[in-house]
Amino acid sequence: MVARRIIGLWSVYGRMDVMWLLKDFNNFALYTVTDAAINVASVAGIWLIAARFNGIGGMGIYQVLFMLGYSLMVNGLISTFFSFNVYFISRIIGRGQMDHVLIMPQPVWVTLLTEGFTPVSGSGVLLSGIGVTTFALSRIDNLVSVPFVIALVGCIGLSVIISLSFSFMWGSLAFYSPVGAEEVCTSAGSLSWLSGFPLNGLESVSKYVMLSVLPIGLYAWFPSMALMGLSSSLNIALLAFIALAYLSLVLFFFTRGLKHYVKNGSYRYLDRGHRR
Amino acid sequence: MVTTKTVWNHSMPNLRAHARLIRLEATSPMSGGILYFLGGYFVRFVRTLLLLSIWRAVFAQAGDGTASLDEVLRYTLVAAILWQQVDVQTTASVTFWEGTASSRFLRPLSVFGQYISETIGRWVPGLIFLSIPLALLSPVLGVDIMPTSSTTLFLFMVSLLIGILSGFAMDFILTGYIMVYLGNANYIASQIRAAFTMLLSGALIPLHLLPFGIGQALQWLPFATMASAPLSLYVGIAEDVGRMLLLQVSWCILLWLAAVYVWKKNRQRLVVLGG
Amino acid sequence: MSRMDRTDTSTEVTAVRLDSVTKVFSQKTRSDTVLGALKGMLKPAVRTVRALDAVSFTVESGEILAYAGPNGAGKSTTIRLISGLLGPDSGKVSALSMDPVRNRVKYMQRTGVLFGQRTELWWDQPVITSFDWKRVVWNISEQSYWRMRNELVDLLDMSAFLNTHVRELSLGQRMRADMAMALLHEPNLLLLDEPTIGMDVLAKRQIIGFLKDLNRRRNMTIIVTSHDMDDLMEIAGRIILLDKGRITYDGDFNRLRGLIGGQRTLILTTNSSKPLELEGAVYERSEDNRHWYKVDAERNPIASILQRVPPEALIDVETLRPPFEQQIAELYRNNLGSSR
Repeated sequence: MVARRIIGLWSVYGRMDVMWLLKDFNNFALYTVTDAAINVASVAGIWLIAARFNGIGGMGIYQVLFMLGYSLMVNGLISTFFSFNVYFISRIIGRGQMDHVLIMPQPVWVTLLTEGFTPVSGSGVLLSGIGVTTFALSRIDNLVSVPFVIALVGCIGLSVIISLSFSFMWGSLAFYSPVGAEEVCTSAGSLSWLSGFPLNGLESVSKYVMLSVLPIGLYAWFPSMALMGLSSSLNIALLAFIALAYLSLVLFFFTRGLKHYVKNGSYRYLDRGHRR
Repeated sequence: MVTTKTVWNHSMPNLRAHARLIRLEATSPMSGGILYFLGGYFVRFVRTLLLLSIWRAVFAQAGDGTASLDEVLRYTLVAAILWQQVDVQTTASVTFWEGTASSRFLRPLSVFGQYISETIGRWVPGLIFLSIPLALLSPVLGVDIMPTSSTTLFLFMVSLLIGILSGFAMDFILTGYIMVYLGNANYIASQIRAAFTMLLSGALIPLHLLPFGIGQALQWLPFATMASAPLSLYVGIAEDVGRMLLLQVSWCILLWLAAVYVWKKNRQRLVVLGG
Repeated sequence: MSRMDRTDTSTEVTAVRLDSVTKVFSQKTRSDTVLGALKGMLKPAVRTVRALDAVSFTVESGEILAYAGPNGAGKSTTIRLISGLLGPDSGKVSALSMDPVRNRVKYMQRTGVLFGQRTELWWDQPVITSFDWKRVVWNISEQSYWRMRNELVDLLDMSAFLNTHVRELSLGQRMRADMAMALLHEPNLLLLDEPTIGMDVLAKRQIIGFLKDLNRRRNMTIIVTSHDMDDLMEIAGRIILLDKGRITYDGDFNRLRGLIGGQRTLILTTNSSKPLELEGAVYERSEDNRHWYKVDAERNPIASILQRVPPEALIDVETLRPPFEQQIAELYRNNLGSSR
């Protein structure tokens, strides 16, 4: 029942995204192209460094490229499924726009899972990621197989869960401080630029920080290392466990924040970014 | 009787107005509560620490010698300290999107001047809560950020000032062009600006590290004027200081001419779009 | 979730009930000096605002209730409590026999909410696309959707801009489209917070006529807040006046007028520029031969005042009732007690 409803909602939002393409092509093209361009620019810089130093942190050039492609695919999935500020949930909460979510006759999680679905306009980044990853894999010997592809898809899903959970955890602060925390997700999201850097060779403290409380290392480096079999201690089961832990934490914090919101409301309302 | 106060009050009303704008913008973010700072500045602080660690790991693996590493670390930390100045972002595009830009046209002050004052005001909390602490913590972070000589410091200040002015002009061109020709697309403006910062200006990755001659080519573009030029000068990796400064000045003049042209030509449309 | 065809009306007798509801908010107070702002960051000064203070009232099914008060009276807070966006600090809110917060999903299937200064429409899409989106999210049956859509488009005169992007609509058009959005799922209860704000006279007339028609035909319960007393008087039979979180009046408009008093403005055009002295009328001003007087018509009937005017001096008589807004403002100032 719920699955059917979610698919039905994705279908509606997908149609709306297509209509935007057909009726307002200029703006659509600009959004899609600039979105893809910024993401590609961010990985291009890191890959150029890899090219300069003939690899980074024990990873070869094309292994670094695979990691960057992975990072693009994670960002691409987020762009595709969690647009309209859903990923940057602190903006929705901080601007008093949760009311629009609460007057819909469906659970909050269904709305947040579906309302940001932009399969066409958000696809630029995802397609770039698929392209970069495919190219990188074509240059790495003896890696691609059916189990590998299944594991790759699974890991990308887990990285998306971790990234989303992290953003939602920070974003929950906006329930308590709408003005103060409105852009906290943007700030937290800015850390993700570091996700393209390999963490090999990093001192332990920094590495463990980036694999736990600031899970940037889990967005691309950790899963890439696990998939390429470059480390015995990093494996997919550990990634799944961490994803589950983050999901539990975010459910706790977000539910508490929502209860606070229902009790205290929000004294501010800005329609900036609401359904646009 | 002529005193400093009377000169201030009667001869420079515009300066007083701009000073008040700066003060208002400096105190506005503080009304959001402490989370505003814990969120944004804490994350930037952590990002800087991580980036320094990453560079150390990259150079250690590459075995490129400690001299290059020291330069990159100084470059990165000074860029982080002056993050607002090497990547100038005015509120112009946001005010157009919100529909509050038109109020700037209703005040007896230059529109550009108002945005510059507002931006400088917004720098104040960043300086207090991030830039100064980072600078004071540099010995703890193992990075020496002291200038090599007073001449270097002076030239750096000149270069930084030109870079800041260029940054303002670039922001005004971006806002004016995108608002007028692309229809008030604030998101696109911010994405394009992020792309400049990421790759083209050298604010995050020093241009001299980029291979295949890309870094050298980017040095000639106006984006390098804003970040790479002053930072390279400060760190001591600028190849030809005289040529670099001349290029900076030239781009600054051209960018300002372009900014004035775009806004003057499209004044009516900007006013309408501004709310 | 099953699809519902909602042509049947609500079976509840009482649509909305508030029992001794209190809602308190904390507000941080700010300083405009840098030092004060820094201090405020670490130890913010807080003041509590009692938005609603033990408010109780019921709304019967099919009733139209006007809910008015000065700025900060608690009107929007009440609407948000009834719509389930907020929970009360004490007391109980019940609507359509449900707890709006606990039973939110089921409750929202039968309730329509419209905030005048906000839109539920999708900015970069044509209006019709937003309607279709609503159909899916609210799970409206095809039959019901097409019937309601056609009816609303006709009643609200929307056919000219149905395929226009929302960002290109005028305010009046956008409000009509938002109104249609709120009604597409045929709610039993409609909550309107300042629905006519910023609209011109013609658009207001259309909306008011439409709401009254809807109430008559579908027995829809409507609670509407507004600052425009004339609009409220036009649409509703009953009005609750709120001031500082408390009900100051709950009854019909005619009784309210009676409570406010019979203030009139009397304008006499005479054959002289010198104003007449009239017992029972307070002289205000003159313009050439026209003279303005203030009269309490309940204490001093106009007819008896005119009897004291020499017939040869009188050329013309006008009486004006002061705007209802002005009378309500007077009421707030005098802070009359409540009764029903």
